[in-house]
Amino acid sequence: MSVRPRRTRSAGRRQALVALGLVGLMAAFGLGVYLGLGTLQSKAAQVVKPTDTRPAFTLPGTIILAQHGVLYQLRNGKFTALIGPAGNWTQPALLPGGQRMIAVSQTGRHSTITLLDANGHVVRPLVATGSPLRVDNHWTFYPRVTPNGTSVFYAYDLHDPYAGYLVDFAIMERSLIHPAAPAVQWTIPNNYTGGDVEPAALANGSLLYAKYNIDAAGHSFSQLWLQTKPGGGGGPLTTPQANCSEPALSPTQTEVAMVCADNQLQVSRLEVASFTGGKLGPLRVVSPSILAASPTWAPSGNGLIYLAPAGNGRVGPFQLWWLPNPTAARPSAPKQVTQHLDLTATSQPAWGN
Amino acid sequence: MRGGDPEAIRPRRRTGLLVLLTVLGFVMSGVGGAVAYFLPVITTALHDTGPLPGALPSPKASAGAHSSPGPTVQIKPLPTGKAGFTVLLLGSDNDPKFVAGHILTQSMILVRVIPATHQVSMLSIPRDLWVPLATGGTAKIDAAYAFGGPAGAIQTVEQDFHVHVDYYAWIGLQGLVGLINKIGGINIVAQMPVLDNYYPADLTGHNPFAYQRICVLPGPQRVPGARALVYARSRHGSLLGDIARNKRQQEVLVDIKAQAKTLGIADIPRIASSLSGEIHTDLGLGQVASLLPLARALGSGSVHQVVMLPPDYTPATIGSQQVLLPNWTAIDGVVRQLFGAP
Repeated sequence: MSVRPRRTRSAGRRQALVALGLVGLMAAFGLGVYLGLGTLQSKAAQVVKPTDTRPAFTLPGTIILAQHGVLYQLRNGKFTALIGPAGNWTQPALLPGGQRMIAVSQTGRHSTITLLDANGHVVRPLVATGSPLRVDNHWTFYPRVTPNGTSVFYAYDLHDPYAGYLVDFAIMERSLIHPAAPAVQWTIPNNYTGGDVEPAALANGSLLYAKYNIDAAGHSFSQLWLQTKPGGGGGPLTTPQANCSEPALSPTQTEVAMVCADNQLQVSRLEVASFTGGKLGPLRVVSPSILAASPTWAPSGNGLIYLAPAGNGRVGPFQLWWLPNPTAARPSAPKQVTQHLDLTATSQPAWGN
Repeated sequence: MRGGDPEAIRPRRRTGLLVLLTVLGFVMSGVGGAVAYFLPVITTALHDTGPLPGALPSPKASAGAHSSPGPTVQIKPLPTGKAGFTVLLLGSDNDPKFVAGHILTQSMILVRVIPATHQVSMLSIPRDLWVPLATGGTAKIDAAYAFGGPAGAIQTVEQDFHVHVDYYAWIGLQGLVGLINKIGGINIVAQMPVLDNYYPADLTGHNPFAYQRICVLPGPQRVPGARALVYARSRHGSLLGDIARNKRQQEVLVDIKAQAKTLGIADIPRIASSLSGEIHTDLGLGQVASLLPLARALGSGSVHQVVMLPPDYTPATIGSQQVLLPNWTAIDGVVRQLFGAP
């Protein structure tokens, strides 16, 4: 029987340790490959609550925005939550003076327009539409207060529960002075087109809104429409080809900002036109954003805010943008105000002094 | 001495072998890590991709159609040249209303992809089109899949539209929702307010036959999968019914394509995990992976979208069914323009 020399035994132990170390390194390498591949994934858009961030710069006055069913106030460069997410709040509009606002709360089957105070506390519902019977429910959106603050225009689905599939929005007006008075129907929607939405009240008593239609080739489109009285006296301000909607009147009501879309390309441009109260001037694209939404004029009229993805891109959550002097012959480049938010693009911001 | 001293060579060989084994060990470990990472893809690929299955037997003959053994189609490599390739996209309800495997296709879209020119053409086929089925008989084209499986749907489209289909991809409702959620949601430009008092509540409640009210406001907006599905699936509130839905489905495909530009090969596992059981295709894993760079290369104006409208068909009633009678002369013209001569 031979006895292994001590030196050989220690060398064997060393080799075993080296082998063990190598196996460990190999396992670590495999794990590293696994984790390394994970780091190559595209980064999901980071989204935070507005109250956890600050805007890139301060805009004057008070801006009310919606994100994930919560209404936020942006004032002096700071966000404050007003109401939500219970109630799924959206589409705020300030009353003249800015001491009160109206907004829409939404459930799975209906929505309600509610009067709130400046701090977001509920004062009273203005247009309630809920019913236990499914087809007796209604949707109501886009509340807009008249310049003198006496009434509110809004879109309301006037479906007949016995008419089966017919559900289209019409623009209604309800008095804020006499809330018990019946609402007045202003517009007659084209059947099975989605109807009439996004009212903007003129100081002369007329109504500007977006009317949807479908042409003979089967293309759905919207036009800005001007109506002087309930039920009639209306006409288009833009062509079907322009496919414009989301009108926003400047404080002097001499300019209209709007969004004009290409449905096939799935892009939407921010455009501005002069307005006489009866006619629109030529439309001008004023922003490089290819997915612009929900423009709102500054109270001073010297600029616009709107919602669009970061970097004027096509993808990603919607951020707040500021466009100074949109009526200038050569408008300035827009500036991105927020980052990492996911603002509700169908909720036009409200902006007061 | 030629070959050297054997006593000196042995340790060198041993060292060489050890180095080789070490390198091999690292390579195997790395491959193991990669396999583990792509395991959801492999699982989905094994379950949901592969050769086109034969036609399924019809649960019961109806609407003038009758079941018969279905055709089979061989898998071909993904063409990359100017010739391009054609994929038949199929989408359907697959909730408890239906017998498993015997489902009507709510959506049939022929997609022609020409990688060399980065051009994509989409043609939606109305589900109510009254056509001869490959499995025999005449019925609405949405029954082709129910009676003949993917092979039946492909063969029906090939024989009636005189277009060659290279591949198919079927996706269920939950699959579309999961796909859109996994890519982080999509930005849509809703072409009109979509209001529907009779939208199926089959994915949200306990009764698959129940209805719910839905409302998608018009304009640009960011939507998760469930909301995108509502937009693409609702059909009652529009003058154009199923045609409007076809248009919206094509828009959602354009929106998914835009979002897909942000994805890379490392994103495929998490997407695959969301699709397990909700997608069937004869596109291989490598072929799907090769589509990602193509999606990135496509410009916004490179997708040509077409839906059929009168005079491509005439509405009619057959028995108790509202159907669309095809005008094959007009349809052949559209198909030839988009897909070339048969």
